[in-house]
Amino acid sequence: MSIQIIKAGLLDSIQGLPSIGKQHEGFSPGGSMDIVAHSVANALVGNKKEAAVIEMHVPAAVILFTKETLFAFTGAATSATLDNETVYANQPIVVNAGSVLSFKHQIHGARIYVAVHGGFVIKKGKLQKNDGLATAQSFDYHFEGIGQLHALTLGWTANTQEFYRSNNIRCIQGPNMNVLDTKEVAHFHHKRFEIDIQSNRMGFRLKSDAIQHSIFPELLSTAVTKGTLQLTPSGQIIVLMADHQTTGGYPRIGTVISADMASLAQMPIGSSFGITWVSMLEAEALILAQESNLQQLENACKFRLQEYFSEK
Amino acid sequence: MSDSSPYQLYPISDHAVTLDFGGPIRLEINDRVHRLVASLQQNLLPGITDIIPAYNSVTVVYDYMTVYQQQLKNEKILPVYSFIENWIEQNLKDYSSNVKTTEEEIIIPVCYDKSVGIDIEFVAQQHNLSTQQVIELHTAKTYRVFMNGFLPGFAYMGIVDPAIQTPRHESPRPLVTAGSVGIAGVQTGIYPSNSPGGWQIIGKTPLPLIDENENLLLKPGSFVKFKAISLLSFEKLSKQ
Repeated sequence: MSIQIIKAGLLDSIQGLPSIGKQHEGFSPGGSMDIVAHSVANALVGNKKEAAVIEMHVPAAVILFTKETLFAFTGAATSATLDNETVYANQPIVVNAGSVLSFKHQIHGARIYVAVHGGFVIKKGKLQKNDGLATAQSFDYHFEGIGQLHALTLGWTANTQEFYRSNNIRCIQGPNMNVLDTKEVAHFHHKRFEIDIQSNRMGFRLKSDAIQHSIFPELLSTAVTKGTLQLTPSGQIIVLMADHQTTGGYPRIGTVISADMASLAQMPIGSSFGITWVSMLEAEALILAQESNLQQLENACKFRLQEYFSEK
Repeated sequence: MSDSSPYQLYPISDHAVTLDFGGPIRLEINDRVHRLVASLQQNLLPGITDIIPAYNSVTVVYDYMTVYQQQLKNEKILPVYSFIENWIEQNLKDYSSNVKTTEEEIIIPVCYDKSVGIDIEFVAQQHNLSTQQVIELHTAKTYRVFMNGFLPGFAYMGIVDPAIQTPRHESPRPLVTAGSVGIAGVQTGIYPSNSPGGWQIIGKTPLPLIDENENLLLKPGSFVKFKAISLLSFEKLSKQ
């Protein structure tokens, strides 16, 4: 065991990458809501991208390290308290057994990710107080005990700013855009959408001036994806998130582009944004740019870790 | 066999494309769906993560980067979604009678007693039938699993005999228990787990639809027949 939850937070859970190949049986892909923060946390501690991490909301869990380990946190928290010291996000940190990590500082976003070297063993459902979490494998890197220090930051920080945007989310238009009144289509980019309190890992309900639409055609259920903008009869939008149902029968007026899903996942309840339509070609170019940047960051993390521990 | 029926092909996301045959719920259209799915599965490309059949559509979900990198190797520079659309269309042209879809019939025991089939009397009254006639009509047909969705393992089946087709409740019940067999219009289905639900519940099966390893009893394309059992055997089988 490397970690114990000593105070449960709001909806803490263990998450991997979305699972594949089971959607035709009705299984939601699930996985971390913010794949960028998930991937960066893993890269910082030398894990493969698919390693499981802890996803936390606010208030976040209080975590006891039961073993000396290398960890990192990413996402909504820029800093945290490790015993009495302040430690920062997006850095690899070596921690002693017995240290306690808590998040008391201001949060800028909605979700915090914690990765530990070796990754966590997947465990379904919400994390409870006293849940002890095993890491999948033991620590690969050799380092001297850090003695009196509680923590040792290895000295570099991943810059994740370029991956996030606020205020505006880009979408491609969906197959049922034609249910919208033409006037509504023309003015769509002026609308603001607020993330409603009834939002969760399945979907975000958006509040806006009701969207004017024609009577819904009789639509048969078809597959839906993460990011699908479903128009409900009341003229409000539900955006499907990680734990979405696999099929749906509401008109699909658009889909959030993959490159903006991390930004959307980090928008807290009550925040608002506008929607900009982009073409499929733009959406594809933006995935490519984001994935290349993420790959570069992952490579840099790997290189730094190898260099650090080979010098020891 | 080549399929020349009309269809629409469009991206629904930057990592998913849908082929839509259109039209109402019809067995012939859904049969085309399962043939296309079988063909796509036989000719799978790297990077395809999910192939999701629905009543009259097939959706292919893919990992953009994997498909893109594969394309680079082949020196084909198409937008990835166009490449996927072409692949789907190619399969639609080529799928032939030697594409195997399942023919096996799965027998589902159902207890139609009103204590578990809580809406069976209502359904009977709606159509001026006895509950026995409802049972006979529901067990007479072989149904196709059109698709799974809504919940893991929930199978949408049809087509229900017009004599017992009944619309769903106007507002869903907060709890329908696992195993409940329902009717909603032309469809029949079984709730695999406890869930809110609006279908007319006419019976209940003691069989689990999903096991602890998440294996499903009813998958898209399966053929299903219901067999009436007594309350006593239902209770016996439920304990097993």
